[in-house]
Amino acid sequence: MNYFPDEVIEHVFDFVTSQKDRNAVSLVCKSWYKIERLSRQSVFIGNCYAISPERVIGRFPGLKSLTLKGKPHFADFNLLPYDWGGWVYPWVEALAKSRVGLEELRLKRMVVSDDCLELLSRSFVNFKSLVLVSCEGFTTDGLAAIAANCRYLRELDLQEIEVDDNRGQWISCFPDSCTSLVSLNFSCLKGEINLTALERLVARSPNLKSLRLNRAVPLDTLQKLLMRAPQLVDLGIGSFVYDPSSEAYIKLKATLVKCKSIRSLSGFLEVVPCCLSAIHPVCQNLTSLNLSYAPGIHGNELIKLIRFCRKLERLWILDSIGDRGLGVVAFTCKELQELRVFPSGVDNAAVTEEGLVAISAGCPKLHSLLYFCQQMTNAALITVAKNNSNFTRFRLCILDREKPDPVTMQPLDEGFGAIVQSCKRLRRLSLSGLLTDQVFLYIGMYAEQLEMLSIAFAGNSDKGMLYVLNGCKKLRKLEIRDSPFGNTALLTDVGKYETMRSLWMSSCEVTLGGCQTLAKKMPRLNVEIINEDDQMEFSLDDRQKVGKMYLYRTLVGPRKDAPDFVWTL
Amino acid sequence: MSASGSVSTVSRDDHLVLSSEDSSSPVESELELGLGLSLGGGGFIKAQQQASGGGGGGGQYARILTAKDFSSVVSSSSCLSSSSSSLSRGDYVAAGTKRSSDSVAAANGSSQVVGWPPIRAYRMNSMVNQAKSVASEEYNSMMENKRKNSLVEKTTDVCSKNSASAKGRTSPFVKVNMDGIPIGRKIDLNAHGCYESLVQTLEDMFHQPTTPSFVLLGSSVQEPTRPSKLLDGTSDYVLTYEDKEGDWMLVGDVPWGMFLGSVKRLRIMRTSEATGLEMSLLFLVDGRDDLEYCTHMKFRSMGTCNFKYGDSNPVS
Repeated sequence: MNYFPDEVIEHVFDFVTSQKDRNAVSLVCKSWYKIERLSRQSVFIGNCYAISPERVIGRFPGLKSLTLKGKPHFADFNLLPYDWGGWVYPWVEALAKSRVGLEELRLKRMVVSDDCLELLSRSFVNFKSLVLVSCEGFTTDGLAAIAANCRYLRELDLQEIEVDDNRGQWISCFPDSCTSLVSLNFSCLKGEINLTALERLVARSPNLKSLRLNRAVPLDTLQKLLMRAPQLVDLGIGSFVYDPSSEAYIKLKATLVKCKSIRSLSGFLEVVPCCLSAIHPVCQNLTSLNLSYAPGIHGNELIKLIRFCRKLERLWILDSIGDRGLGVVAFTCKELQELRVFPSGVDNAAVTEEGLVAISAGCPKLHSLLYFCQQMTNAALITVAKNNSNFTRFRLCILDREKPDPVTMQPLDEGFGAIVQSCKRLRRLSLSGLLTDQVFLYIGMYAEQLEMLSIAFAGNSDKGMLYVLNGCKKLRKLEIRDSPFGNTALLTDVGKYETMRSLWMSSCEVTLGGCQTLAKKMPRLNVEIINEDDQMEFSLDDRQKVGKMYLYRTLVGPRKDAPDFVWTL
Repeated sequence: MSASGSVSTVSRDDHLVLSSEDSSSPVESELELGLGLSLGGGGFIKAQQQASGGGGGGGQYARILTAKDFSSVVSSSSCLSSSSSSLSRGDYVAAGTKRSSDSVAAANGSSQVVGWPPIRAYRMNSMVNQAKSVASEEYNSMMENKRKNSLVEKTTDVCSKNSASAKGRTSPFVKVNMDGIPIGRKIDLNAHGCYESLVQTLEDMFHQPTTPSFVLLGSSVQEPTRPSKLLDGTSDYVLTYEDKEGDWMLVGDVPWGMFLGSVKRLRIMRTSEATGLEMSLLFLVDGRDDLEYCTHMKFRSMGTCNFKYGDSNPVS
């Protein structure tokens, strides 16, 4: 098989970057396996409990970038007790002990302690990039360690993290010699920040491209920062509260005009709810706009802004934009690829099927959607499916659980059925509204590329789940809550779960006996029962329904860090 | 839970009239009204009410007037069916509404369930916190400093480019024109504390026995002598205003105080011409050829309009 020396093959493999492709390459023959593994620099582990750090390090000694995901997706919605797991310390510890020259660590839904950050900062001389999404467990002390010790730090990116203890001095811990920052995102931090230190940091970071501030950074500081970093491509504004006749605001307007490189805008964590005209010059070049954390901007202002954003490819917004505003988006943003409409936190949501239909008609490139709405009709979904068959991600959340089509009072089976039938490249789907087994029949029949499916309060019987398990050959993640699927569905095709990353079922009809049967048959699955009620006894009654079950394939058996309330069968 | 149209269960106590004080706390009084067109060609009001004190954790929200009386109307089947038939055309759909007030009741009444709606805890928490945000306090104190003694009720006008008006209105009178009536009038905005009062005055001013009664955004139409045209989907006029930036907006979109600070003049516009207002209304329904509205609107950097019907001259 090898007509070329290893170095040549390795050079060819350099061009193979996607992990999926590299995995495929490594299966060709032993020689390729070896060359590939020694040259692999970037590893993605979708479930940190599927494999041990030692084995990863053993296979990929040249590892530079590691991505880890911990808790299951439904943990985001408080369905998982706090201490369930996902600690990253063992990974950092193992990496530190080895000779791996780690440069980048990206974590999602994991628990990161200050000790861990400290260890990380001290163990890897060339550490460059830390990205934490939806993580928890650390304070700004940990950030201070990263700032102080990582001499070549390029990227510190914190997304959607609750960091409670917040003393703004961590930003002063970047040494004067640190001039390598490219990306700094601390928008989720709640407390004060040392503004002078921040200004000096930005001033000595000529490569800074992405800066996302938290709400403690006022307007005049923003102006000073922008003066020092006119090359910014991605800006997250903290506080946008101002007095319009003040010099600071006038200066800011002038400065913003000079920032011609800004392509991505977010934040406005505190904002005066009118007149964002200072931003208008920036809008015409924007490809990404995230105003989903800015409830202070009401619908009218949003609409005015959007009218300038003709190049927008990504838009995250609150439902205060309304169907009317979505009409404006549909008219203006012809390049739109991704849209997320979040609820603004009030009972009466402000978008309906009207907005979605307008978007589907107006935005031909749209392929990724997250849409929280007040209602949806089958007719609308059918129209959407006709207008747009490009969806790769389609997540619809009708805020009223199990709400039918308000016009026909029918379940939304036909509507979602139209979506899966039309969108042949659909990889991710979230369902809501009133749904029967019929929708799952459609999904099983048509959603051939589906990899992730989220089900809540849907279906009538085991048949529903079986349609999906039988039909969706590429399914990797299935998460179900409050749906009447039981042991028959769970046990009909046990081998299926080894082809998937994980299955979550909560408040369904599966029993302890069913789960035990599954666990016995499939030793390479961890079947975890999460029992958070204080009646801690795991009753041995097989017929007892299981509150929460999370199962996932693994090569390393039951995890050793499971807390008391988690029972691995 | 049924979704049949029925009267909103929100009590009358929730009829909060927006005052300038409300508008000074930006997060607490948020209101959005929109105009939509149904296939029938008339307009009806979409009132987006935000239930005060809802569980979601936003601040309190004020609503305008009796607009919610329209919402119960809007959820009637005639509007719904016309909207759904418009959907099947696959055209752009004008923003209409099928706000079913039952769903509001249901949402209010349904039990809370862990993890629903599926919003990340971080996002939920930040929305709750922003409702009590520091911003409103900073903003209030800032505006307090700017507030000068004045005869008129001051608005929280921070959006003025004109420094003169930053100190308050120089003249409380604005011009009002109604389509089809050559002579305009002037109205003293400061004599009104709310939209309802303004609208009633305008109706009295312009109402002529020969013209069909018009219903303005947010007007209270539950007087027996003046049946609402909205009920049969044929209101003929809408009330619009030109703001400081030269944009034409629907009256009622913003809190009253903010409106006072930005309004330059008013126009009672024929509904057919109002199809241009705010982009959603650009989505032409039923082949309207009258695109003259474009000349009245100032759309910035619009480029060419992709209108299917007729020709257009957008003023850029």
